[in-house]
Amino acid sequence: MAHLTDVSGTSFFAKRRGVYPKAVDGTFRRLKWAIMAVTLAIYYVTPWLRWDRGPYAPDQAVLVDLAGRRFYMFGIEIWPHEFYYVAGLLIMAGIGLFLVTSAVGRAWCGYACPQTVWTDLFQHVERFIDGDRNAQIRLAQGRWSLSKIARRAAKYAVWLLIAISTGGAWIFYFADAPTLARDFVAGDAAWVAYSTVGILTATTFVFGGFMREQVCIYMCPWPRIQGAMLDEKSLIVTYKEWRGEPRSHGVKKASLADLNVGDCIDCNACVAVCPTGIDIREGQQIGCITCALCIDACDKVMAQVGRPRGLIDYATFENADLERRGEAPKPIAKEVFRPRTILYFSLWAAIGCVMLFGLGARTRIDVSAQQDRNPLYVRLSDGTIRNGYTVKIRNMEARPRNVAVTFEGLPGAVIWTETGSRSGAGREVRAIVPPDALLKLRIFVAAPGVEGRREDAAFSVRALDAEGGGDRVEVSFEGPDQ
Amino acid sequence: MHCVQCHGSGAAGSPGYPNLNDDDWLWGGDLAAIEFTITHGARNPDHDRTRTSQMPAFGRDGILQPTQIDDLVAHVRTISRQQPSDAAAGRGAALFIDNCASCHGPEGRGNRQLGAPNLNDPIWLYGGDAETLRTTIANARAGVMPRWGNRLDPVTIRMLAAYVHSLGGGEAAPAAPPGAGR
Repeated sequence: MAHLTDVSGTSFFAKRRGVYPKAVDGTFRRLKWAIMAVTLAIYYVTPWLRWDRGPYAPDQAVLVDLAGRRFYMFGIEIWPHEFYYVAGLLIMAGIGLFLVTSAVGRAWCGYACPQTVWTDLFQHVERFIDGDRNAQIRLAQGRWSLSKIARRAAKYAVWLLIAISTGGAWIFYFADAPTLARDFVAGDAAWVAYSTVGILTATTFVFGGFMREQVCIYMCPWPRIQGAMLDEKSLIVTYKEWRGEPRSHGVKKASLADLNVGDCIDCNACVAVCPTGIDIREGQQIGCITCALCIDACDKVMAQVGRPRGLIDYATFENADLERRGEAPKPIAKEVFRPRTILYFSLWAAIGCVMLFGLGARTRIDVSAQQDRNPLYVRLSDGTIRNGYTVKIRNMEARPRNVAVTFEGLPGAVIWTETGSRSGAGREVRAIVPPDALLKLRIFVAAPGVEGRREDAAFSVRALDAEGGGDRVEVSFEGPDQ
Repeated sequence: MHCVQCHGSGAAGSPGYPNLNDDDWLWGGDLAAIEFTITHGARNPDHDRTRTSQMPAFGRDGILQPTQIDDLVAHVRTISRQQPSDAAAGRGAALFIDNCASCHGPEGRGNRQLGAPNLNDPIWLYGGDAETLRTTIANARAGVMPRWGNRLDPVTIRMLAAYVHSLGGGEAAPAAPPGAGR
């Protein structure tokens, strides 16, 4: 059998061998069940959660409104210019991945990666319809018969159902879920909805049903990066070869014959349950997603042959070395909490805190101003100099807001809007900014006694309601000495 | 496309061509007056509704002597607060009443019905320095603007009027219908 660790061939790619993982039960299997249930539930249920934002905003809890250029997440609303929050989340996800990997190895791969979760789901379906490992192998090698056709059809049908609902759930994040669901079924949804569902259905069906571990080994960059992220203090699934070797068939017989044998009885249970079809006894390898199902399988066998559990177990390289030399391993907590993980965690937490603070302190009114460039200034009949600006006020809350705009920095300056006139001009201009929208005001400023080339000034916007808040933008006021 | 050649792309004008952004209007700055000016132009030959007026060429036609013109220049620069009053300006004031006040008004505040500019403000069509004023008084000025009524449709002209009105100097329509105009 060709193994992933073989380097004798000249090809970069190995032909896929069938992988028919055997069902197993144990601590890690149950953990995987729990994580699968939680992640799938989050994925499928989230778009259907509602969140009341008042009459001017959508009531979907999590919504990526591409057309309206808003991102809603429960009480948080992100505007396009605030995309750095999303960038921050991505950076946190990246550092979080570093943290998890350096602490507990490829835990992401083994438990939470969508490829793993859906492959796991598909494999359960496969076992439910085709039977366990041996039955699957028999079926795969057997000739085509009516029963095989029926089983294949049933399996593909269930896979397809899962794939469609997976692709289908994705689009609900981008529009009002109940409306889109109705339109989708009625055939009234946008073509992009159908094509998205089509593409995601295809990828789910193919990746989860057929490509499986090939995606991890050949398509995903993360296993390679993670390989570089691991160090001697990272927890990884380890076959304790100093305990297991030499392998024997029949521990009792061997000990009776007084042979020097290890605990491994070469039952291949660890290989049989592996969802990527590797042999963990060859050591760390790219195909190992550290799902720890081999630990569950081996523990069961060890219990049956009356040996202590943990022949295959989570261990660090450092502890493996210690144990190999017959010394006591260090406590796991001591391995996990080390400068590297603490640094990652501090970084991760610091970014999170800064973003939380930013979210809490961000003002929901934003102002920007653009000065008229042609002409830069206008001399009025009383000798004062007038400049014109286009002032844009963003109201990022889902209710209309009364604001006052003032011009600061030039004594005696008066301002008025396009719809007003200079005779009614004063120190401030009032406006109502519609909910969740941008108001464009053309504002004229007339200031006496400006003869220089340029003066520094600023527009200041403040909300007149109880909540208050505001923003300020610096502008220049151009004079005649150009 | 039609206006930028003279008034500039920002409508800020240039010597001889008015700045449309300011609040100083030769023929009126409310919507109707602007629309009328665009439709009929100014000093358009062979068009009888065009804005028209004729300033005499005081120097070229020998109405005033060069020294008198210098006195007038001093007076105009005084009322526009460009220089303090002096003896020449005093002599110019009398000449102004006799020769200029019929159009520009006794105080030089201009007359929009005649397109006579206000001489008190710091906005000059050709220039407010002594040399330019001397040329203006000696040879007169009579800017011409094409009429657009025969080239653009009324809707386009109304849109142009609204645009010019919105540039910052637009005035509200007077309570009584304007004397000049329709």
